[in-house]
Amino acid sequence: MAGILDEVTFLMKVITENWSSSGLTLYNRGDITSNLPVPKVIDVRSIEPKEGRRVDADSDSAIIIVYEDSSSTTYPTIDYAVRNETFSFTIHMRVLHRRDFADNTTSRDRLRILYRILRHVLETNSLSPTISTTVGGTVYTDSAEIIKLQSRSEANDRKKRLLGYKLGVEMKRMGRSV
Amino acid sequence: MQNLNNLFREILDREMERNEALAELGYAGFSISDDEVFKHALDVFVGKVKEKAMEAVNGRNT
Repeated sequence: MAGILDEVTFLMKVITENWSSSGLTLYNRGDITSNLPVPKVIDVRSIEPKEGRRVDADSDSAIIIVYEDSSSTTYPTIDYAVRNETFSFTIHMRVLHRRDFADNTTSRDRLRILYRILRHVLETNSLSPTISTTVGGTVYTDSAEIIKLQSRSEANDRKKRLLGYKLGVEMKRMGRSV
Repeated sequence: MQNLNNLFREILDREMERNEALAELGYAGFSISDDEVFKHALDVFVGKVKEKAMEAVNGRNT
């Protein structure tokens, strides 16, 4: 069955549905010192019921925000029967340094672990990621050909005690019939 | 030059809007300060200009 998810939601689902297994794999391998549950993954376009209400920053000390920055489409065949699409996303990982953290490096360590888990999710799902969604008993399948992590830069905000990374991610859907 | 100004304004507006939307969703604690929004918009702008320059040099997307 054809897909129903928009690209941001698709990428968010790739992250949330694979987070636990990636965290466990890295933890068992000794690549991370502690496993972290999936943080809130946010699409700012959502109109959620908690709109306007302040989320308790103490209970959610980390978030991941997914933005679509651009997309481009090409038609590589003479009859325009096939479509190739490239989507660029920015993923912001933000960790709030809470005053009750045991030491000053807790938030930095947490950010590092979050990054490693997210990187593992993207690297292990880089080829042909697929997400199935069931709506009213019907299973819909969304997929892409490639998802790749392209860049990382620091994005800290000392005023607000936020540590963060900005990740550039590209997704391609190729050879889709129009 | 006017085009570049417009492009930067557009990017800055988008980043401000995203930051406000995050706060409205209840994540004000994770929204960034105005200075950081400006810096982020500037980074995006520089990236876009580089991209355009590469396209102009190579005559296509790289």
